[in-house]
Amino acid sequence: MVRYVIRRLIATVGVLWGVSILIFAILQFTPGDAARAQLPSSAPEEEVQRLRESLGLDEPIPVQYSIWLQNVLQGDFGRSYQHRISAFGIVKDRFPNTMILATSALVVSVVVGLVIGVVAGTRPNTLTDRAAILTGIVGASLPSFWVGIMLLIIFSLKLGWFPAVGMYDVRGDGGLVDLAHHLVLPTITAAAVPAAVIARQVRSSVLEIMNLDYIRTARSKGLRETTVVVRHALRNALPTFITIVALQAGYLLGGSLITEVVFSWPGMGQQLYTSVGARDIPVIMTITLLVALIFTSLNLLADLLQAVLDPRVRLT
Amino acid sequence: MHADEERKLDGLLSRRRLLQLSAAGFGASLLSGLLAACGGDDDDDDDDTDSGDSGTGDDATEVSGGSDDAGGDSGDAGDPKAGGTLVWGMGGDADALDPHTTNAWAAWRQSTMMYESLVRKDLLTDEIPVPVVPQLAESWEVSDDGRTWSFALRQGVTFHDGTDFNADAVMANYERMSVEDSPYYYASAWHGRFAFQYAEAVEAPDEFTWRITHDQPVGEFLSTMGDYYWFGIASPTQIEEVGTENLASSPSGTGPFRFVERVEGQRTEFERNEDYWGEKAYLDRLIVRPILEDQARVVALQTGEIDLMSDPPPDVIESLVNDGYAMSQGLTPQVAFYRFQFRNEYGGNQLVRQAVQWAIDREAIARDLFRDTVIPAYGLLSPGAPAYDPEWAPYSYDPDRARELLAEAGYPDGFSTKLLAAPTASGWPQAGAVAQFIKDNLADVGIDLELELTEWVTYLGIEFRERTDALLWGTAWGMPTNFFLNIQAESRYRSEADPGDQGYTNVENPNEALDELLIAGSQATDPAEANDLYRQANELMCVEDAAFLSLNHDKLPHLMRPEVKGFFHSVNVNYDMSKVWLDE
Repeated sequence: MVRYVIRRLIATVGVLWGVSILIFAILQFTPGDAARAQLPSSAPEEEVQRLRESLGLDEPIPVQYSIWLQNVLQGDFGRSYQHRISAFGIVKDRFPNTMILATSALVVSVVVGLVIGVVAGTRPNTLTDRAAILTGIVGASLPSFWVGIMLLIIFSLKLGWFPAVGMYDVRGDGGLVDLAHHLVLPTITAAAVPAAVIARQVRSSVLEIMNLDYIRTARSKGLRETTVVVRHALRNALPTFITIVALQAGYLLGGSLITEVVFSWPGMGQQLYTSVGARDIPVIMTITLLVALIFTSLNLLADLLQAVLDPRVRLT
Repeated sequence: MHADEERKLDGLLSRRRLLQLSAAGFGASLLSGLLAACGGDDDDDDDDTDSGDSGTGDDATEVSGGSDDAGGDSGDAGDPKAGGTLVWGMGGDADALDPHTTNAWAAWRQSTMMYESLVRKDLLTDEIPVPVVPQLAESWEVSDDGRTWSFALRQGVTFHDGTDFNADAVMANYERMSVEDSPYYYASAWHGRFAFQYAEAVEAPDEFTWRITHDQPVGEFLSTMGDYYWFGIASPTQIEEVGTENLASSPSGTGPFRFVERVEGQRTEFERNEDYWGEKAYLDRLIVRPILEDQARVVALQTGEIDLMSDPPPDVIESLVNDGYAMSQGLTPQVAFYRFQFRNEYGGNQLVRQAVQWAIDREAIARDLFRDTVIPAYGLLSPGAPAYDPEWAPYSYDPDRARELLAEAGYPDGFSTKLLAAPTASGWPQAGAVAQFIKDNLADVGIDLELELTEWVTYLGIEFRERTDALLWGTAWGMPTNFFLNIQAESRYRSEADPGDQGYTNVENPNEALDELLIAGSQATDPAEANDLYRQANELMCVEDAAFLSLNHDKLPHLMRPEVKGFFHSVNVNYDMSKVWLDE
């Protein structure tokens, strides 16, 4: 197990390295020039060239990459071209905000997904099941952008229940209640797709398990249906569930980009959106590396949990 | 409402025209500036205050509101009250709160609150040309040869960090932009290199005098110094303490508001500078929030999460005004225009370029697409530039004339080509819709345009060779100075290597007639003569050579809750927020 973890951790370093090369390359091949992006469209070429030199963008691309890599290995993620402050500092400030939204959306999507999935999976082909399937399809297909705007118009503008933008009331002193109030609409928007995906997955595993022999045995022993579902069916559906939840968590932590932009939620997704628009390479690289790190770590965690829950899985 | 607005605008244009004819352009304002400055400290303050009180924009800045007192400026709602917090929602986030490096409207607007320059274009008047008024300089003199400018600096001013303002502070800021071996130097502080490009000697002969000598006459120098606050003077002590590269995160100027904190992506907070040398701001606090999504910004105004909103989508303005929100808009030094590609077979043909000018219905774009938040444009001189002439309209919508010119050019059946535009450009979110409008207009005269719409930075970086396929590519910006024309079309600022080169005029192949006008214009020390030269240049570039297709000047509407008073729409992109107050 320990050797397995060490091997996976080494692999993670490899993945991060690969991701950094890939993103760096994509940024180089995308039309657009970071220096030109910082100046007005008619700035003379001479001025652009001067800025390019000061940012080190006049070096050959492999040299630029190796300078970047050396700096990162020493803990220096560079300075944002756009904001002229530390790129790591920007991401560090944004990360907790994304964590708050992602955690809240994950909790909501797990609870909703689990309830819908179990209810539907234990009552196959009933009206409830069909309604659940339909909700799942709709939830997974509606674009977050549209859902966000609709929630804004209905719950913020028409009903006045929730604020429209940001994390805190800027006139107030902040606080947890204020944060929770601001969190509701973005959470629903960000949770819609993961909840639908989880519900669908849970439904199909529950449906499959409920037809297995050991469930019939459990029922024939005279166990109550709740016990059958919770203690026997769900326990066996857990491994698949954990994998799918880990994937959704990665997706949410990667910054629910659209949700953050719609609700002016100051997280990494919103930052990535503006940084890509400005070709702010240091910030884009820092965010993508962090997201890749989170994603691989969550996958590793899911695999370890699998082994704990299912003795048949061996990690070697 | 629409007809009323139209009449209002007509009225203001003719008034402007009168002003222009009578004021002999720049000269009168320079003279009045000098006279005011000569009167000493107290007079200056009065002069500033006067323009604040009288510049209510009663007929020039358009103000609409649901009720009579729901105006967007201070003139119509009783006496200003001090106190309160205003939240201002903007459609873009500030890149860096550093006046010497920034390139974003959102940042200029915030810099204006904290930083002051030696002089500024008056933000509290709708007069065109916009007068230059004293700020950290009390007066200025120009030598007879137009090369040496001397500024007498205001005494008794302190920076927000407590440092005294003097000529050394001005020098430090000059060096930050222009002197590579200075400890203050910062390569990203690029604005000054352009403005100080003719500097031969820069000196501080005594504690309160700053002098710059150019290697040639620079008639536009004072006007350029007053623009946008690019020469906002930062505390030299602060620059030393935080490091020249870190000024953006710890700003320290002399302005009416001081920086409190910036929480990236959430808010930037300012408070009243209680030690301000001039008239203090009314607001206790001012908070700027970036809200990038249009619809969310509109909802935030309606829910009261913000009080003042920049960049409203044109379609929502009328209904919000009907609901009682106040709207303020006016002329702005901005122009949306396309460039013709001269290396394109069709773009290289003068008759084709002229035909396109007649084929575009600029009035319909302003009315139908922008809901009268813009006015039609015909040249590159924009409102606020001393030579701008609102009466000048060399083209009308005349598709028959366009067809005749196309036939004369040898394309009676039209042709097919491309147009490039960037619908994500900040300050021009409607670029995609405008491109579609042009496509429809040109289809009527037989020109089939294929639209190529890309994201802004991609658009900037599209290789020159790809641009040769396109007849037109567009952008939107402007400056309240005639020198904008030099930047756009003086050959020495253009090169074949430059991705923005259209092949019209560049250092390799200059348009000599145009250069002559632009250079003479920039050197002319008599403002009336300078304006005349620039108008001729504008005519040559946009009518005879028809190298640019100008479409409209934005009126930069702002929407606000009716309680927000004193917001004055300057002929600029930034506003004097010290005059804004809350009626509650």
